[in-house]
Amino acid sequence: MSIIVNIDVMMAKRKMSLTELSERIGITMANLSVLKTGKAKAIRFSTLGALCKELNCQPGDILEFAPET
Amino acid sequence: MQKNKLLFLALLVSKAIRVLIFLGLALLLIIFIHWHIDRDYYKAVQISVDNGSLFISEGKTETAQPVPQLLSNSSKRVYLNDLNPFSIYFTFLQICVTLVLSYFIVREVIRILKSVQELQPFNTGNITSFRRIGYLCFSVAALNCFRFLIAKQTLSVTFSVDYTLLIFMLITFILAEIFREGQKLYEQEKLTI
Repeated sequence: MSIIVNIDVMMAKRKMSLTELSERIGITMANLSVLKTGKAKAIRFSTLGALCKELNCQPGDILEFAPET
Repeated sequence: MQKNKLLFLALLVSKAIRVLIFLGLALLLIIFIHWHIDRDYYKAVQISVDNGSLFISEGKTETAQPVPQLLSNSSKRVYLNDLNPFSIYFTFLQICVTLVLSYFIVREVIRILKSVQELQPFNTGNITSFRRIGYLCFSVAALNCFRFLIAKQTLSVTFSVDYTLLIFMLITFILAEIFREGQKLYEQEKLTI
């Protein structure tokens, strides 16, 4: 996958646990875990927006493009 | 609610058909064994082939000629005991295999209906089931496309294709592809957060 999800980095910066974040944005821990581990195939704008709001960051801080070698 | 009721009914009918097929197979085996033990009991039984379908009827032995209207083109009717044993075994095997294949078809249908009832229709199991039904339909059609009866040096071969089964086969293959696409979309939706 050439898109890297950096939620764990942002969560560490904001000192927020997975449980807390999942409760704040209203998605299940399992789904957040899928997103964190990079298994997700797509992300809804609503989820991205909620993540940005709770982590106080920009979409670019969460998603990163890494060309495949 | 209506959907579930219909599904429940379809499941019930499928299960009843499965039991009927099983009973039919058991009955056929019993008759076949009994025929070996007491052939005279079946001396009035006539076999006829019409448009590729096999009919069994009871004739009158008193008035019958030794080989009545033997395998004429319009009505291919012959006494069961006049048939060559190989012809009987072949036809018996044909019917048995058809019943067994029908049993497998119904079993796959039940599997699909159960998955739909559990609201999990788009899974790989259903795709496989649809494809299996298609192959089984083709097998049944291929198996029953010809019938032959040998009686007293006379051979009758009937060839007819059951187009309903072939159309059903095509429909199941199309459904398998539709379900494959559905499964892809379902997987995508499941991994969209």
